[in-house]
Amino acid sequence: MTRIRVVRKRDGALSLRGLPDPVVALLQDVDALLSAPPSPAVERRLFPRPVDDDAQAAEWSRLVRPELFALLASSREVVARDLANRLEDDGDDHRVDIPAAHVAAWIHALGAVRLAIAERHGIGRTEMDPDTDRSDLPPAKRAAASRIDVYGWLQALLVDAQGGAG
Amino acid sequence: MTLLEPRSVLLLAVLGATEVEKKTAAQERTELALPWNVIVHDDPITLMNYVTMVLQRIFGYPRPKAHALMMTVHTAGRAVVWTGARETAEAYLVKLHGALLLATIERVEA
Repeated sequence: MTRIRVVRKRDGALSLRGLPDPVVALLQDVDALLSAPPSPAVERRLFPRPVDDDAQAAEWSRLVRPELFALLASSREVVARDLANRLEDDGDDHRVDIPAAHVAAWIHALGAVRLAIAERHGIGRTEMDPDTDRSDLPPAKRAAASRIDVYGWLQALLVDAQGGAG
Repeated sequence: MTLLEPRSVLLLAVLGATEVEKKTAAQERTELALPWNVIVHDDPITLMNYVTMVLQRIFGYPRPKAHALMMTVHTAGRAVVWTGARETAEAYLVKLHGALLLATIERVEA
């Protein structure tokens, strides 16, 4: 039974608590995973085409991609910095306090790392279907899908806790 | 979410230049008057509650509308989430891409 939970503070800051060592390690991987040079598939997903026309899409990429790339870099750096500076013991586990101004970056980085892992490992609708028996998947793909699940669970906790969908 | 500020004037200038230069002034006026759709496409990785949150924040939609649009994306594979002037559509598109959603724009057929 998991003890991971999110506590929302009055100022909008969120405290991610009850994090066991393996989950902390996964969070610490976010920076490296998003810093790696993107494969063409990851590139296409993180910076998608806006229109069918090739010339217009190329111009869009030239103008917009640098800003999207900078936004992504900023988000992963916020996560890395918070983990470096705000990770504390929480009983047998750990907690990290996320300032209100950093919550969006965390949600963004967690979403991005899920997409990047999915593209790298060819994980799509079938693998993410709850009815799929993942024991049939190759070990590396199965592990990647599990990482996507964990990051997704943390992202959903943060989205719900900040009332973003409410 | 920290999203990019619209740079729609610049984007309109660049994205529209090649095509518009070849058309007559009358054609250009007609085309500029046609609205554009902003479309969000389904992907199996992005969380549903996240998509709802993004639609609320970017377009200012109330939760029921954002949730309904998200469900259309989920079930139909895509949804038109906004229709209007091209310049504004491009600005929304930058924000949607900044939020990691699969989104495109297309001109509404006359």
